[in-house]
Parts: sequence; structure tokens; C-alpha cells
Amino acid sequence: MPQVPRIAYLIEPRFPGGTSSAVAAELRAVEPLVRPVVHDARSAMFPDRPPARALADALSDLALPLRDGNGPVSADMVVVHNPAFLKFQTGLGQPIYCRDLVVVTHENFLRPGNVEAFDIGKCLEALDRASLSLNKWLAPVSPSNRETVAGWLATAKPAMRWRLAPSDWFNVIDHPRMRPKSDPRDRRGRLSRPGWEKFPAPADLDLCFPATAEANVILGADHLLKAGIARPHWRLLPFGTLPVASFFDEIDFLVHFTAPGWRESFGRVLAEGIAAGKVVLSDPETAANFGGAVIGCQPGQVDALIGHYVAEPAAYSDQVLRAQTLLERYSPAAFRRMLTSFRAPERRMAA
Amino acid sequence: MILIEAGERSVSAFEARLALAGLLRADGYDAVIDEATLPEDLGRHQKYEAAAIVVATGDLVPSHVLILTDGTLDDATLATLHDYRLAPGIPVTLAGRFADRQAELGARARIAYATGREPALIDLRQQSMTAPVPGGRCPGLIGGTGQRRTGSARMRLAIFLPGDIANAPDAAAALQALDHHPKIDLQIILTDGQIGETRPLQSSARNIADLSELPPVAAAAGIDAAAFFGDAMPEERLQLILTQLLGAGRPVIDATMPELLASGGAPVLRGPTDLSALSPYLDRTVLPNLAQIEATLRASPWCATRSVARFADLACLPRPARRTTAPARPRRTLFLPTNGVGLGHAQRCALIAREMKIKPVFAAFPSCLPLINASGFEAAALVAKSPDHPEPFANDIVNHLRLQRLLADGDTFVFDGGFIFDSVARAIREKDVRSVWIRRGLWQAGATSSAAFDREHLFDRIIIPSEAFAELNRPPGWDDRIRMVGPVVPAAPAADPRPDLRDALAEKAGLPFERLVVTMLGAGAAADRTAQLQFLCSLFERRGDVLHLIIVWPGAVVPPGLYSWQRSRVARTTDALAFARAADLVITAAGYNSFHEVLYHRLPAIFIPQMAEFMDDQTRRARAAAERDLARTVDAQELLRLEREVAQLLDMDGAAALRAALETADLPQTGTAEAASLIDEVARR
Repeated sequence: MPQVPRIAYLIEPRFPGGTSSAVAAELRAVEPLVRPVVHDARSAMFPDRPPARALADALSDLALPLRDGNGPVSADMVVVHNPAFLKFQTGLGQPIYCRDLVVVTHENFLRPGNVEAFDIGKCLEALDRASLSLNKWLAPVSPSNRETVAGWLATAKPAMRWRLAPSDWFNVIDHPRMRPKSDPRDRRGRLSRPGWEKFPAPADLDLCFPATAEANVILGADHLLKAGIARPHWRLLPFGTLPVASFFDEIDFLVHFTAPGWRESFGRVLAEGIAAGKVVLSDPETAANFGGAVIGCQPGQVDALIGHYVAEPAAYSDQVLRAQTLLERYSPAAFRRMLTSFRAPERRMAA
Repeated sequence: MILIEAGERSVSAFEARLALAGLLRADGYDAVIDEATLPEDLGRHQKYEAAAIVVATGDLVPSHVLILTDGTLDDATLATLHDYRLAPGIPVTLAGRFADRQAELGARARIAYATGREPALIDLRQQSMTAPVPGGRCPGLIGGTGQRRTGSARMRLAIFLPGDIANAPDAAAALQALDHHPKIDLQIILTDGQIGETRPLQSSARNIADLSELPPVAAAAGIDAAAFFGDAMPEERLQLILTQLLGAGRPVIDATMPELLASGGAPVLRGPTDLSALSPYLDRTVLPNLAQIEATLRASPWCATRSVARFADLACLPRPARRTTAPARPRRTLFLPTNGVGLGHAQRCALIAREMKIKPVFAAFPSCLPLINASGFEAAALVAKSPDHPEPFANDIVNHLRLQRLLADGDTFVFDGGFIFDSVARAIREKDVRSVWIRRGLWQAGATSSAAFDREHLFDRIIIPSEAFAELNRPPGWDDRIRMVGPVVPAAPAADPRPDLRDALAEKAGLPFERLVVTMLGAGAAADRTAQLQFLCSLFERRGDVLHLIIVWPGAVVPPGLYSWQRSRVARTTDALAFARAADLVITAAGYNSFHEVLYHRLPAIFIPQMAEFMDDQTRRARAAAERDLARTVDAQELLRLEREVAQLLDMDGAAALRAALETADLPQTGTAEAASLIDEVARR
């Protein structure tokens, strides 16, 4: 039985979207196994923003204090989620002492076209300089994310000795599973934090959310509203103005495409859609992370696919139930298994 | 179309876009700016410059998008780029000086998200294409700036300085010394919009302009050396001008306390920071070494990396199909008479134009077109001012665009008017044209130091049609550009060209008459003459022997009450002189043209002068004739005296006496042909 390491988290709790939700779910998953210590990295990226609601709730529920200040972060394993928070500063405030430093790469290191997504070298260098650690791991969140991290390591050849973690540090999906509707309708929607990267080109957005659909709900449409990009058949809602559960009540299909120059590293919202009992459609590359739970397609194929599932409720139901089964690989229990066996083969070799 | 964008919608970012678009256009690239992306708080002069470059969003056909940014990309810019729905093959290029790699990567990523394609990147620092002073957004590029012709061998020195330095106690003396330096033609260019505060400088120097009114590329072509004073970060357009000068091998003197230009690595001369030391510095360091300075600059690596062509290659801009070159048509002369109070300017121009060796063309306001066309000239229409326009200068922006198209390098541009419009000044600055100002004299006291004269320096020649009487003419001074000519007035024909005019009038009016009185009191723009006209109508209504013709220009507004009289008729014509010549008495304002027509065509007349702040001194002019017993003068409010004068002239042989006096009057030779010849001479340069 592998020994459970003492774990400390060094996080920027102000990430507004998937990162904070993933950390919140991870803390809930880990806490029964080992009580983590959580440190606030307080970065220049979000100088005035309060911690994300999901994360604040998790810390509160688990009675875990968020440690502030510049004191050292030390544990057997120190987990740093999403190093991108360091991209606007030159160093990390706190020193890190640990055996394993795990940097969870929530953002793809390379954008489509193999363009570096942010100044990764600067972020990793800040962590490297601040840490005294036997092992420094880059832990991808999905197979596609792993490819971008490996690609960056191969081309950037950083002087620091970062290694690719042997297993994916996946997002924990602990949402209750909802039954699929027996009479699905052409009610479509998408949910993301606002940002140009999260939205496809206008022509593709029109294909995904056409006038022929019964409903098109776009939650997180702040920038579309600001820019006056609207259609009479779209219901545009700013981020956070509709509870997620209510959003899922209003749709039967989650249609999620992004800008071609950007890709989801994991796609947490897609997993949430599956858990909520919806058929989820996305681009083939993002869908591949979910092994069939998400239907990969092009925007031009969305209409036909939705038409098919509306006409065949049984197929709709089958797809949702099969996808929910596949979600089990992201369960809290699966995460605890991953954590306890993280680099176990290597430890055995070392022994 | 190469669409020029910037990361934000600020005025300073727009200046950078204007600067880059101007540079690219000067090299033949079709660089444009989307009208929908103009900042709301644009200045007057920026609007003039933008007008030639902006394109309505619906008319945009971009083949390339160039975005200037230091990493800043606001939501409005991203939304606009997103909404263009650029076709897949249209490349997008970012050009900027980025603080760090993250700023560059972040900008690239956001542009990629908004446009759906990966942008190319020109790192201006890496490519040695930054502006001379860090902080400038527009690349420090060197276009194919030519050097405008100059009539003298003196060095055209531009001093760029803020108003506080220009107005400092000892600045006037230093500037005056430079203005009279035998080897220098001085231009003073205010860099902080304080032109209105520097009126006292006019006594120190003749050529003063505000930086904002200078089209940068064209301005650089007219400068041989520049000195930059002050300690404020130079604006984009100033950086552009200075870069062009360096690229053309012309000295730029950094006279700033913090060495703004020198510290950035630009190959400038470090000059004295005190204005009073500039003249000896020029004498000792600059003027004797111009050739060496040019050679050094031309060999400078700083200049070598900054060509527009290199930038275009880096941005993968397709080479322009054809570069801007001299037009295929022969050089020509374009007259622009202002519309003024009446049509005097147009009439004067038409007279001079008739005497020219090569037939000129006209650009004119709608009210002047019939007269010009009737004189046998083609005329392009300009837009008149209207209270319906959104801004008082909106028509002038359109006229600026029209003049840009009508004029080409090498043409001669003749302006006749009292106030030099921005469109006229810009046309002269932007094109390498020969410029002539026909400026009638007899300005009211104080008017010659007004804003009307601020732009006198723009003209290669100033022709002043003189007044008939010596005391009305002011000596021209020592400015060798100014030439006085005799009065410009239609020549009196030897024989009456229309001997049957009175019979024709009687037949047309259905009213036999013995005496014909012609009244020409103006269109009412300067002064309302309705009361005087009604008075005259009532006066002549009581007489059975008079036909009273009220002559107005076509298009003039006529008080409706004038149409109710039996013996008074309104006649709209561009040939007022023909009717005046047929008249027994002319009652007229004392504008330049009508006054001299009365004198040179020996017409018995009563002058009722019109006076307004912006006009010539008609009262002095009318009195000069009256004092010589060549005419009668009545002030506008002297109606009873007017009645007496009319009676005296019509009934007591007064008109005959005036005619006799006019026949023997010693009037100077007319100057129409000489004016035409002077313009021809300028055009041949």
C-alpha cells in the first residue's frame, strides 16, 4: 500500500473559471485521504479580485484555512495549480521545500499551430528559483494537454529539470448525475467564462446557434454584449448571472466550440454538461479527451446531429448514459487512486 | 486595402495609425482606417487628415490587417476585429515594441482568438524600427520623403518648441535673430497646441504653425534641418517628421534638457538647450558641415534598418501596383476664389485667368460657378458652409479632399480670398505646388496682424491688386514675394457692346423710361440693405421717367417686398457691368470690383459703403472718390441725403458733371495682364 504523502497546495485562488473549480473539487476529493495545507500565492494577475466562490466554499466546508504571507511552503508534495498566474511577475513570494513539486498545467503550453501560449519559461523559472525539491513535475490535466506540455519541453528545452508526470492530474468531476430527458428538444446552449478565446468565429457561432433552434442560451457572453454582437434568436447572458443548474435546465444540448487559435486543456464544463444529463458536442480534438463521452464534430455538423438526437430520444438517452459512465474515470475515488500511486513505480525503483 | 488598427481607441493611438497610414500611402500602399474606429474626441486637424484615409466599414475590402500595439488590446479593438469576419486568407500582422515576452505572447494570442488566425509579428525593437523616443507607437520608419523645391539657397530650419519656451522673455530676441539670419528660412512649429497664445511671436518671426496642422510626411519634405526644444515626450507626428529628416540625411538637433532623442540612440546632434545659443551653434557646427552630416546620416545603421520597404517586406505587404508619381496630365493652374460677400473674388480671378497664356481651371463655390462658367472656364464645385453641417468646418474637410484630387505636384494654385481656409493651407502643404495669393489691399486697421495673415508664409507669390488712389495703397514692404499690380478691372470697351440694352429693358419691363438707375448694394451678407432698397424703390415709384433695376447675383436672396414695385425690377445676372454701363446713375456698394468698374467705365455713381469687421475699408475707398468729385458717397443711414443726391444727379445735371470729371480723371493703368503674367512666371518655375 503506497504511503500517502503530506500535501501542501500553493494556489492562486482568484482564477475565475475552471482552475478554481478544479482545485475546489480536488480538495474535496483529497481531504478524506490527507488533510492538505493550502497557501495563497497572491499573484500580480488578479490584484483586486476576491477568491473564486467555488474555492472559497470548498475551503469553508472543509475548514481549511487559506494561508497567506511569505512563509515557506513545505510538505512531501507541494502542488501548484496553473503556473500561468506567474506570467505577470518576476518571482514567487514564498520559498518551497518538498520532495515532489507538482505543477499542474491547467492551460495548454502550446496553442494550435504550436505557438507558445504564454511565457512558460518565465513562470517555471520563478517556481524553479523559489523551490528546493528532489523532483519537479509538470502534471498535465488531459492527454491533449500532455501533448502540448511535451511539445513545449521538446522545443524550448528549458535549463531547469522539469519532468513530465507519469499520470494525468485530471479534473475531479463530482457532480451529481442527472437522468437524460426522455423528450429532448432543440434547446442549445453554451457556458464559459467570457473571453475571445472561448468563442469561435462569428460564422461558426451562427452555425452552432441558428434561428431554427428552439432556444440558444449563451451564458458568459459579456464580450459579445459589450461589442453589440447579437442575434434576435440568441439569449445572451453575462457570466454568473444565471445559476449553472438553471442554465442546464434550459437546454438539452451543450454546444461548445472555441476560437481556432485556442483549445480547452481539459474541458471541465463539458464534463459538467454530461453530468447534468446533456448531449455535449465539441470539436474533435477537445472531444478526444473524453473518449466518446463528448461528440466530436464541426460546427457545420451540429444541426444534423441535434436533429438526429431530437428525432431519436432513445439515442439521446443512450449517449448521455454512456457518457456518464465514462465520467467515472474522473471521480474523487479515481483521483485518490491516482494520487496514492503518483510516481509509485519510480519510488519502487528508487527503493 | 491595408487596414491599420491599433490596440486601443485613444487619440494618441489614432495619431500613430494616421502616421503609419500616411507613411505607407506616401509610398503607394493603399493604407486605410475604418471609420467606425475613430476616437470620439478627435481634434480638428486630425479630422482633416483622417478624411483622406478613413473608409466606411461597409466599403472596407481589407487585403491585410496591420495592428499597432505594445501589448495593449482593448475590448473594442478585439470586438471590431472579431466582427470583420476576415476571409481565411487575409493575413494579420502585429507591430509593436513589447515590454516583455509575455506582453508579446499575450497580444498574439488575443489577436488569434479575435481574428481566428495566427498573426505575424514584427517586434520593432528586435528589428531596430522603434520610434526615436521610446513610447512612440508608430514604427520609426523612413519613407521616400522627397525634398520640396525651394526658391532660395537658405536652409529651411524648423524649430519645434512648446509655447512656454516660445513665450519666455528672451525667446523673442533669439527667434527674431534666427528669422533674419541670412542663411536660414525659419519655421517655428509649436508642439503643444499653444499657437493661439503665441500671437506676440508674430513680431519675431513670420512663419509660425502648430504641429497638429502639419501633415507629417509632406511637412518633412519642406524642412532642411530641425531643432527640438522642450522636455515633453514628442508626439507621434513629430517623431515621424524627425525620423523622415534623419532618413533624408538632414540634421536634427536635440535641444531638450533630458536628451530625449539622443538618449534613444537616434543619430541626432546634441545642441544647446537655450534658444539664444542656437544661432551660433548653427553657424559653427551645422551650416559648415551639412554635407558631412548628410553623408554620416546616410551611412548610419540607425537609418538603414528603417525603410518603409523593409517594414512592408516584414509584414508581407504586397508591393503597391503603382507608386504615387507625377500625374500623366500636364501641369496646370487652378484658381480658387473664395465666395466672400459678393462674387468679387471670382470676378477678379476670371479677369486674370482670361489673360493667362495657358487656360487655367477653377475650383469654386456654387454661388461663383455661373460667373466662372460664363467667363469660359471649367470649374469643379466646392461645398459652401452651412448651418446644417455637424461642424462649422465640415464643408472645408470635403473641399480639402477635392483639392487633393484636383491638384498634383508641379501645379500652380492661385487663391483669391481674405481668409485662408484650412483646406487651402493643407493643399499647399501636402502638394508640391507653386502657390499664389491674390490679396486685395485696403484692410481695415489692425486686420493685417490677424489670423488671416498667419498663413501668408505658405505662398510663393502674393499679388496685391492696387487701389486706384495712391493714399489707399499700403507700401508692400521688403518681402520679395509681394508684387503690387494696377487695379484689376475689366477694360472699358471702345464702343458700347450693347447699344440696344435700354430698348430691350423697356420692352421686357413693359415700361417706357427716360432714366435708368441701377442699384447694386450687395447680397446682404455683410449688412442688410433692405431699408435702403425699399427707400429707393419708393423714391423712384413717384417718378414717371425712371426704370430702377436692382441687380443681384444669381442665387442671391432677395427681400420679397422688392417685387411689389411698379418702377423697380429685380434682375439676376452675372454681367452687372453691362447694365451699369447702360445706366444714367449707379447706386452701389464700394467693393473693390464695383468701385473700380465705376471709375474705369466712367459711370456716375453714388456709393453706399458696406462695412464689416472682416471686410475691406469701403468707407475710405468711397470717400477717396468723393473727395475728387468723381462720385458721391452716402452713408447707409443717410436716407434723406440719399434722396437729395439722387435728385441732384438725375435732375440737375449732376450725373453729367460726374461723367465729365471721370473722363478727365487720371487713373493708373489696370493690372489684370500683369497679374496674369506674374502667375505665369510662378507656374514656369
